[in-house]
Amino acid sequence: MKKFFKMSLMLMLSASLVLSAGCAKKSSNEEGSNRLEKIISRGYIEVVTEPYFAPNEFIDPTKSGSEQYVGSDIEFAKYIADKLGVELKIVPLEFGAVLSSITEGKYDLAISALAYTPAREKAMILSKSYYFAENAPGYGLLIREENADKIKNTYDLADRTVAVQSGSLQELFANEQIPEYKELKRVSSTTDGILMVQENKADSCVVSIPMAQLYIDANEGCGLSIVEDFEFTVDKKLSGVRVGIPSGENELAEKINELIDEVVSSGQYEKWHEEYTEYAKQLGL
Amino acid sequence: MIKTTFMLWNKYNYVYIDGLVGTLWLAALTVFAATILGTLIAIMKLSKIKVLDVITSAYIGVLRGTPILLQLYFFWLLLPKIVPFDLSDTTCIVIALIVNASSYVAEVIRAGIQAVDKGQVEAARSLGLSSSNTLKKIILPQAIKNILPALGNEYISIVKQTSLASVFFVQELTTSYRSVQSATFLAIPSLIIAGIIYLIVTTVLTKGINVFERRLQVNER
Amino acid sequence: MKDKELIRVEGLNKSFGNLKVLNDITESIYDREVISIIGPSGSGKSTFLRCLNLLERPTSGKVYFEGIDLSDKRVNLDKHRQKIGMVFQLFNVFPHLKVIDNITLTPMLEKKMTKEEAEKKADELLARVGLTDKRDVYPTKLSGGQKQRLAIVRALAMDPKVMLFDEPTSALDPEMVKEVLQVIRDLALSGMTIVIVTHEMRFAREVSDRVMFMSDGVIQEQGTPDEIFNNPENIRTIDFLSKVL
Repeated sequence: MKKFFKMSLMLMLSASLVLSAGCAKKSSNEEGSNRLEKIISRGYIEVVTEPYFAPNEFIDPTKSGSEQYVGSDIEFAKYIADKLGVELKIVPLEFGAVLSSITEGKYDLAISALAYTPAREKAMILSKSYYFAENAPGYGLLIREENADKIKNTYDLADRTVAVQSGSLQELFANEQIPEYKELKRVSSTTDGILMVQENKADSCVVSIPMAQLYIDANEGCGLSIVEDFEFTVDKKLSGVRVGIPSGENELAEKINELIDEVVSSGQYEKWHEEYTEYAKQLGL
Repeated sequence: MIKTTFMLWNKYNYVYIDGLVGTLWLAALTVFAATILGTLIAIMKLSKIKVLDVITSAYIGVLRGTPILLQLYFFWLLLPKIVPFDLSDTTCIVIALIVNASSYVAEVIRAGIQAVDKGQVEAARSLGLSSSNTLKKIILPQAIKNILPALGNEYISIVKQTSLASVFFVQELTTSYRSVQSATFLAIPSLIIAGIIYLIVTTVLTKGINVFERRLQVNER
Repeated sequence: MKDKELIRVEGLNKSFGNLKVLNDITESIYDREVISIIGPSGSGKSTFLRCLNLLERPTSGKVYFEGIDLSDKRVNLDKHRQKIGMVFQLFNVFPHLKVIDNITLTPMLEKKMTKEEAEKKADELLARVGLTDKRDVYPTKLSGGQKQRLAIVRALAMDPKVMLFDEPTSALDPEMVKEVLQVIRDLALSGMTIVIVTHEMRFAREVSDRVMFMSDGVIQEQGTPDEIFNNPENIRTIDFLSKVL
């Protein structure tokens, strides 16, 4: 009898919390003014990002507080805040939470090297592309050196384990471009996936080639390599990284696209990207 | 590997130290606030009023029956929505940690009070000592000798638990590890350093608590 | 000359769950009496004693102390308990307080004595039982016999009208039993009203005015030590005594 009482009490408590949360959310949407106006009137903009992706966004451990988040995307966020005449607040989150917080409308923008995927297009507004790595290497397969003869393309993965960052573009490639695999293991960050291959918990990991190369260069004797002459196909039309904006906020999206045009045509973003690639290198040993 | 680890420590030791300070301070704040909250709950549970007993049992049941990480997410997502003023992420996480810890502390306090030999109460009451004086002068002083070492152990648990706050980028030791790791791509050396620091801290604290416990018991038995 | 009736129980019944431990007892205890209660284990002796100061609450029946119904909710039980001293088999001294503080705590808190008054009285009591040199020591450093002597003077510090002893020597090593019994003997000789549950038959015979034999929750037989030990009438009494004497 006591247990039943306890159960129903817990259920009532949780239900009332969830309901009140839902109500609170509703009232904020009924206000009428759009997000861009709200940002300007309240004086700050909240940009969410996953700071584990050099050179776009990463952490400089020598700095503290919000100063520690640096990168080309961070510079771009500062630029946007400047142009809007507001303060910038960087919100660091795990990648999955970055995406969901924009879908929910919890934060204003996601600037986190977001690539185009159909799923994301449905869940939020994706800006136009602000960086194309035309001739730079794209996405490939990380494997252990010892398997270099055995794994040369995606067909060789038929009886292998593949690790991939959950919710990422890489996961999309794995699902669409690997015809068959023994098992797909989802991880929360690409580094975890790389470690899995290193420790023989997975045979390969779908990676951004420049990022993986940085890892291999930094870790002598890790026994890892990138499959040669192989890249995942990226739809050129849809390539490049974009800014994520909550659905329905067309005024904000328009403004962001304007600012993207500015930094692209002036070559400013490219400059930032090069600058921060160098910066990232000197943080290592 | 060992050489790399040392070089990494040379370059980024202050990041780890800052993180450690954050962890110790966060754990101390959590235990302190949880003790206050936990004492309230323990008193409610011991009061013999049925309604209070059911409420506190539900409270403790939910907090001990769900994973802490889920509780952190829960507070992080919901608290800003139901509270009329602004709450930083870190504040939400700290509140979540305090609430969770209070459920364990409440049990520690309750057990500490109930572990006091019933004969003590009988002797006190048969002398004609009032029930409030019995609580104040006989039960609590002896309960505290039971409770303090257990609270110390709770502190050590929380030092380790705060590592979950790194998911939300709160400043503490595990967050330091992640920052260094992402900046240098040296996954294992950066992990080893963090692990060693945790080990040293918990070992020192455990020894300290054992010494403290033995000194408390000099007057017992 | 009829002495004053200090304690009276009427129709006292006590059950623990389905187990009936005390069966409809009506009895009086008079001023300056020394009463020993003997009997087999499980007879309800301790339970009976613990009902006298309401440490155990009767399932039914009444307990009167100096004419006042102790179970009446309007009565300040603590005040009356101060006049009834109790000594336990397992001593129950306060381990976190020094010997002197064990004794002065309750007089200072409940009788509002000053520290000086309380300590003066405590020192007198300590001298009476030979514990003066242990005054500022913690109870852990005391032997069992010393702890029990401490327990006795702790109760005496409240100036009780009656002292209840619940098997005070049963947990003591044999060499310490004598010192504690000596204290109780002296107390009896000084005129204190005493009710003692004990297995020490020789002591009961020497010191008591009245001996009660209990068995199965009932006072089967009672009388002077001579009557009970030399001429028991009840078969149960005879049976018990044949086993222990």
